[in-house]
Amino acid sequence: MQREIDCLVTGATGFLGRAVVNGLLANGASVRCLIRPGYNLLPEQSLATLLAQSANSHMVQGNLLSPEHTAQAVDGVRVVYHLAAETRGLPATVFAGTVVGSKNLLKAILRARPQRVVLISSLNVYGLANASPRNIVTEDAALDTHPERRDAYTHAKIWQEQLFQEYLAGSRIELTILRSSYIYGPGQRQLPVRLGLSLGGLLLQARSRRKLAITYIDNCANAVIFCGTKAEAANEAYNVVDDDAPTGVEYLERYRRCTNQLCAVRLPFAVLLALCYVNRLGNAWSAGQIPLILTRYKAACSWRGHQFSSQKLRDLGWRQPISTEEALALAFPDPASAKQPLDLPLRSAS
Amino acid sequence: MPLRIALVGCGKAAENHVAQIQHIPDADLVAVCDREPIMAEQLGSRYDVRQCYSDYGEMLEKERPDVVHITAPPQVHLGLATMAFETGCHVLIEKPATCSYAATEQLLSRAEAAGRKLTVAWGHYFDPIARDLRHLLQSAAIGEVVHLNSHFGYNLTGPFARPVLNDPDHWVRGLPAQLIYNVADHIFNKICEYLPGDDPSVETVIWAGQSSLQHDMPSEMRVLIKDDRVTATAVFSSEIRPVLHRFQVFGTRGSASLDFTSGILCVDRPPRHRGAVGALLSGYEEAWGRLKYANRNMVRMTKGEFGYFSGLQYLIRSFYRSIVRDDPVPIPHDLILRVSRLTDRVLLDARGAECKEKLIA
Repeated sequence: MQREIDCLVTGATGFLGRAVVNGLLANGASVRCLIRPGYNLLPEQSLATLLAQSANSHMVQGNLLSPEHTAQAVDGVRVVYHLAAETRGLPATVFAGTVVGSKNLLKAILRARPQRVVLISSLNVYGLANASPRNIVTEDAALDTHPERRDAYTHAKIWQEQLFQEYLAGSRIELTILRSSYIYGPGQRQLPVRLGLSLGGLLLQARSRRKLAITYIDNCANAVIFCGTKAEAANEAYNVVDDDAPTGVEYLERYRRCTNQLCAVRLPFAVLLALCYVNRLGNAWSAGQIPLILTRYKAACSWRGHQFSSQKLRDLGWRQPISTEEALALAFPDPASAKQPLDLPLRSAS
Repeated sequence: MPLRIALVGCGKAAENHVAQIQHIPDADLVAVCDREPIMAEQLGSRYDVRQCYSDYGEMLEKERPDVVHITAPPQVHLGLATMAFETGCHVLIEKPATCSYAATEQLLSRAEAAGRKLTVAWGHYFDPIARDLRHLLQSAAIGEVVHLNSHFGYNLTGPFARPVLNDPDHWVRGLPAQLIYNVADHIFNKICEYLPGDDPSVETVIWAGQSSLQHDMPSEMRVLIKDDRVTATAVFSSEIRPVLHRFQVFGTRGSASLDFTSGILCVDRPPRHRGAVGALLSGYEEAWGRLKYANRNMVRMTKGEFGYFSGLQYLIRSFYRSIVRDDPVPIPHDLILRVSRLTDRVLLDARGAECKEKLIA
């Protein structure tokens, strides 16, 4: 058995992972980071610097697809922060990286028996196809019962969450699930999926006057660490959404101040539904050669302007450390001081 | 009665097969199988497949499929295909069929011994431009073939390469020349189809290019092939941008160029007019030819005959038809063997690569 260590962070090289490792080390925790063997940790990268500077942290090279690697990573750990997921790529890659990897990790967790597991999920897991956008979505909302109708990433995240609940039920290992909204911050190159449909350099924006569900990277990392240490968070799920979020229009304005590579068109939701119909026809006519990327189900889940509440997390005592105004200024600095080209996304985390 | 179809190996290639099978009438995908149940279930749930298995033998036993699509890693193709033949199934196998010429020979002889049909999923072999090229060559429009050039570009940051680069234990890492071997069929099947002889001389250079250095993976290949009458060059590159997938046939009367990315076939003939005006008109003539071909592709798309996987769909349809009518399989076994033999020879000849050891082993 390896020496006792406070935390294991999977997905430590990711956008959220780096911030979580940073926060944990700042709190004085000892941290083990599971990093893929093929990952090239360049010395100038912030995580490499962090790991090199801290006596309390170390890196374990391993792949979640390998049961041996996961067993070694979990051994002697008190809290597991499971952040690793495949957010892009072909569906098989997304499922292997997100669900199969989680299964291996869970088997190792059941053997090593850490005190708590914190799983980072997504607001996308809720089944909102038939939910009115007037109602605020809380943690009591049911998970999507037709995940196969969603994109591969959302499908995999729903499955992953169910897998954790199933494996850890009755194990006495505490499970805390954080359903994060879209995470933004400096260097984040994607746009929130709920902003609209991205087609190359064109964004078809729907319900642009509704508030976006977003969270700043440091706020989200803070919430993750908070839930990992709070006793009352055991066996609970929490939404993570920042206060005073901008509307889609406001967010896009900020985004476009930093880049002029994006053409956005605001569309009524009904027009998006019509596009879904056209896509379906094209898919049928072309015998599947035109892919079915836009469906009524996906549109209803993502672009009807649903609003989410993180009141439960606030009731637990969590406070957003960085105000949304300040966070937006950090994420989208004044172009006069720095102009950074940002790429358009294919898919974002939430 | 529709053909009962089953599939084993629910990774990246499986998605392409299942998506095409769904659009083929008289084909019923009854089951999918993967030794990891999650992978079978994810594919099955998204494509509404009735049964998902993690035990291949059990699937064959219970479902009694007419056809099995094998989309597992090539290292296990021979074993899975043999089990399918023994159960009386026909087999459509993902490329590369096996990891060596000897294994491919065994695979084909086992299919023949069992009296079952077998083909390899060479999707691009039936792309509309590849089929048009066959008609063009039959019509003698470009005369006798003199030289062939097969160019295959690869994006190391793309969705296929990324999982391989991220995982040192990925099955592609176990192939001779790794990523290059995995797509070698796409490069060499075009050449073998039009190369008359069976025993060409081969000169090969394989190396890890700039973009591959940190991953220790061969990512560049240049091959010169010389037959008695025809020469050929083959290029695999992950450095050249844009990522090209092209095939050129140079003949005694004209030349044809196939762009598998845009789906355009161009035919170059000697200019009809001389001088500056002739050169100018040639440009318009070429543009007009491309425009006509693009319009043709638009019509094909509305019929489901144009798209990245339209060649694969054509192949699957043709293979199923060959089973129902007991016709010859769409890809001659002789060609599959020749491609496998040329691939072996290219990699055995390779200088500066570790693939030789893997191939011999």
